[in-house]
Amino acid sequence: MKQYRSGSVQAVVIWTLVIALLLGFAIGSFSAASRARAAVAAAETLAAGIPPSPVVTSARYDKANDQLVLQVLNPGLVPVKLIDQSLVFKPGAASQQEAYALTAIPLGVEVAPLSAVEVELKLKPESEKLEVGDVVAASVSYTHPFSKDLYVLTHVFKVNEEAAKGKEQKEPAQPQMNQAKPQKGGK
Amino acid sequence: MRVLLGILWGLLLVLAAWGLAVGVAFATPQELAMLLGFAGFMLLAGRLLFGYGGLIAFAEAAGAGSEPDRAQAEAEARVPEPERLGLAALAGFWLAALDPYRYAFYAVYLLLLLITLATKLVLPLPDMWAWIAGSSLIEGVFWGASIVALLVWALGAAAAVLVVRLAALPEQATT
Repeated sequence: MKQYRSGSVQAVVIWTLVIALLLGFAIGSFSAASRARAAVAAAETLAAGIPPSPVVTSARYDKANDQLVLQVLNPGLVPVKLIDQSLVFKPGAASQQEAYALTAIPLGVEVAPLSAVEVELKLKPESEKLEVGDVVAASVSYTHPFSKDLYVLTHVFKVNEEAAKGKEQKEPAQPQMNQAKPQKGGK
Repeated sequence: MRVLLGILWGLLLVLAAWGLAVGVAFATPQELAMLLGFAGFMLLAGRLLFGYGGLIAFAEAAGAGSEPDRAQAEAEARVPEPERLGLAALAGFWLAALDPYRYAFYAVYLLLLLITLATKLVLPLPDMWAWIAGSSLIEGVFWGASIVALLVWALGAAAAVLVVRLAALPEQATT
């Protein structure tokens, strides 16, 4: 009998209840975590099936290089390929430049899931600088992995006083996602 | 009355089977692994659970002064001529006869614990939350087995306490 510790049945019951509480907590956590993980995996599978559509979150006029810079965000879970770009310029009252259109300028930029890139759209070479009142409509065509169709995204850039100085023109509502890091020496 | 009780019992069984089937159908793989671990270790510990349960009933009855059923005790205690033993000695031999099963159970449980820990000690940890919450099936088996291990430990400890108390009683009370 020496190998058995003497004790009381009450102590055994109390210790059993304490251990059972801890064990139940652990088992419940394990079960809940497995359910949460299954739910997240299901939601990811669902979201990865939604066709992406890129969003222009902001635009600015780069006066030095005479180009329009668009921030294009891909809020989906599949990549988007930007194929080419088009540009329509409509002069305002202050501009000396005549209206023009540039079409099908190759772009070839891939926007990774949940990330943003800066797309540079060159204005017409040797054209006048943008003045207040000018309007530039920039179109970017893109494809995504779920179809062979070509989709077009059009952003209308109205030049006001701030935009003419090269200030960033943000869209009024911004998606709450990760933004592109500011580039070196930009702005 | 018996027919009514029989119908109610049948309904209860059908309800339980339905609940179990729905639970299994909607369970995650980890929960199914837990269920399998629980069922497997219940099979492994069956002899221990029934043995300690019977021993607790035997020792409680003997300690209370009433005459317990000796037949099961004499069959379980591995000793020649068990019918000549007193109740306390019989309970002691019965408790000792269950020890090999107890050690075998704890050995398998310890092996499972080591395997589970080995899966958790992989470094570097890619995802801390996954490590804490656990995602492996073997961990589900371990948690299911832990329920059975707790039952075995509790019943074994209670049986040992009762047998030791029975042995400490005055001699005339237990013969």
